[in-house]
Amino acid sequence: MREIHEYHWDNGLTVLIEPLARPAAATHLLLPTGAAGDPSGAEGAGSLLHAFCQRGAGDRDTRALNEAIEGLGARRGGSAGRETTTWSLSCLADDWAEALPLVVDSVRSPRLPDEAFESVRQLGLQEVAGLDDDPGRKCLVELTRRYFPTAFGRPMLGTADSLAALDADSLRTHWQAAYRPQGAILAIAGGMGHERALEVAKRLFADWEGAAPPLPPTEPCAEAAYEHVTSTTEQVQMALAYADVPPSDPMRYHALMAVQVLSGGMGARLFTEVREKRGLCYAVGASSAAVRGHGYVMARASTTTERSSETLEVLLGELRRLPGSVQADEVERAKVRLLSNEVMSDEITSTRAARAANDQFILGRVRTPEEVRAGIEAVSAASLNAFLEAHAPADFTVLTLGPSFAWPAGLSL
Amino acid sequence: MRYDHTTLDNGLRVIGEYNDEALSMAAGFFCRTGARDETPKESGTSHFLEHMMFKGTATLSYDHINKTFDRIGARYNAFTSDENTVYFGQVLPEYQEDLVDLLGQMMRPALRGEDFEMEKNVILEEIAMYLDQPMWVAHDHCCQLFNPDHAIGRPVLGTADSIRALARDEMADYFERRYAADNLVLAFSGKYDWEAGLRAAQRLCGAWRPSGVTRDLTPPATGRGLRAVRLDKFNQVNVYMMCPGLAAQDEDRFAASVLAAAIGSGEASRLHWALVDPGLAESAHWSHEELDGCGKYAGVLVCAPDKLPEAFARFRGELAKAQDEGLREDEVQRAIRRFGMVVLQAESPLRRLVNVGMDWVYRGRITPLDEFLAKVRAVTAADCARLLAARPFDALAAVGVGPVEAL
Repeated sequence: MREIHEYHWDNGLTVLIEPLARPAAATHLLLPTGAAGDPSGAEGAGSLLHAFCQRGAGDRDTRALNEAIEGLGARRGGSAGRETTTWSLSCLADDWAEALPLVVDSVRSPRLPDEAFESVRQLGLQEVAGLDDDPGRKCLVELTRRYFPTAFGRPMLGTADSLAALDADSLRTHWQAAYRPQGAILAIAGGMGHERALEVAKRLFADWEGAAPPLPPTEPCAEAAYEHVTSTTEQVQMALAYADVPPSDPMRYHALMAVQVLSGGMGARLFTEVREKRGLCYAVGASSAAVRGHGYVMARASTTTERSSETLEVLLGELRRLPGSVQADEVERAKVRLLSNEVMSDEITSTRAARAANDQFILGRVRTPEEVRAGIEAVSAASLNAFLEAHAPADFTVLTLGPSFAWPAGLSL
Repeated sequence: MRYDHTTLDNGLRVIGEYNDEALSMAAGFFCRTGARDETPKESGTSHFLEHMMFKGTATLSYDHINKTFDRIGARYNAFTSDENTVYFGQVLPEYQEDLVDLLGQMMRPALRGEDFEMEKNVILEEIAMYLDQPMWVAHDHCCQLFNPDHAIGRPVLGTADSIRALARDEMADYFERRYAADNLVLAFSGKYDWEAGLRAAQRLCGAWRPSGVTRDLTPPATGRGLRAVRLDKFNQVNVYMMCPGLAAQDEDRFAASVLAAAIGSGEASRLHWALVDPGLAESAHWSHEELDGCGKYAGVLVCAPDKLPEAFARFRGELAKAQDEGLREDEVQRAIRRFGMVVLQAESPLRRLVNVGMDWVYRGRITPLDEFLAKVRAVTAADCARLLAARPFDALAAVGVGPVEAL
């Protein structure tokens, strides 16, 4: 039986504590701010701020801070995302109470020193330049900005121009506004003990106050769209996105199961049809994605130019074939995969903390294992086909990136 | 934890690390074969064969194999390196029998001609995919510079030419030599049933023949030098570096790993302060990789082309300084603490499977986590100084890939 202690504090912070009899400890702090909330003209501010906050905090300069964390054998993690910014810590439970304040200092009392700003910006610029050297990732960034055509879909790293326009003061202002407890979530899991976890959390966060500005609405692209981005790569990257039911929808497990039928393993449809039967590519797959209030599916493949048109044709064909075609054995495989995945994810302490925080952010509550199991078990081939008839994959936003791409003759979007 | 091991009459070793706290189990076959065991004509065969093992047996189709893995909810895959090919799966304990049965059957593939030709396309696509990833391009060039006259220096995937030229029967010959019972380890981890695992191993693998296959463990000659591969399609410069290191069988490997971590792993390492903290390089790492009878230090530097001269000079300066002056005790102690993360990684039976399997392939025993940590903690600054005094980093092989003429 899973035991998660849940606290909703007056300052707006939700604290989730899952005590486990393990040597490990994990903490996942999620702030409801991200690239979608970057000030206009200052794209990449959240991402740069995340790095800037690590340049000394509390009574430690950068070197003292990093050496203290490493000296405990702890790992600091996290990133600035689209609508969330995370700070995480993995360590041994015995070191947790000493290690957590080192990470929290970066969130609550970063030094944000003038002298470190330029190096933080230089690293940000290098990361932006490096994105072009990673065509798979670049393709997803380009797809996302088209699928979410408003500010919500902007590149999280910013651009060379937007980073050039930032300065230390603007990041300090952004930190003042955005790093606030209202709607934030602190998830703790592991062997540090419930009472101790709560006591440490209170000491570190009880006097935190304020609310970050609200993020713009998601507003995904409502119509089918296609674009090609030219690049001098060996392969053509192709990616597409389409709307799915929202994460809070009672039919969400049907949506997850549909993606399993497509891409739940090497026996699923995309791998079988695109790679095994036709040898068109090495990498192909689809996955469910969710932001608050909106669920969607992303699918992708990469292949050389001469095979790329057929690859996209088969990929889209498989998506369109879904409604009415799901067989009972596919559903059975998908169920065991999802149920097994739940158990195997629970083995990893840091995954438990991250999943609890994400549930709380996306759904406003943490699902119980029983609820998840029941949701998965309730899906049948008949109910999944009915779901897919009502929610057939359609209105695809498609992006290709590569030397060239010939849209398959007769293929509609 | 409980440790199990036995050897079947045909030489197949079956081993396990049982963890009662785990919620799942993992199993895998470790074949002591990889790029270094290939002739020039066979380049890429180990990896291509790894793909073909999923393509079916005399009685099983690829579709059956794939769907069976999915039906038992497995997380599964395989990988090929310079010297190991590993097939693994992780399932809930009630599916152990299905998993082991499937993996065991897969180890005797049909290697059908039509599957071979179809999969060739996939391998060629995989090669093309890596050509778009500058770090891999740099890595493969650096391997050739570092081990110029040895199979271990050739790319694991082979080249488009070697793959196109490969014939099905050549792969079958290679398979017969390398996938013999005495060149394989079947490993278990997590919450597995040892008796059931042993019965399955006997039933599935008992009739496999040994081949007495060996590996030439003469340490390969190493090359050094600095080279640039100019590719204007990339924005950043990716530099890969290698120097001679210690073998997987060498007790000094713990000290080598610790000193490498102090120089270049994590956010308190020397390379971090010299390169990343001042914004010169996107990443700068140094590590030690133990291999069968040999080993290497390996480094990575990613930076903008205009920063390369200063960044690379500082990188080499830090290596030289460590050799000249050794490391401080506090640096060594921090580096040692990094290795404590293995306790957290061991939460995953899959992660642990790879560790215990490799342990057995290289050393014929499983090192319990406590023993591993004790050996790492016993490393001192004096141990590091002793290894550094041999000046291993003077023999640097480095290749930079990107819009640059020279390193």
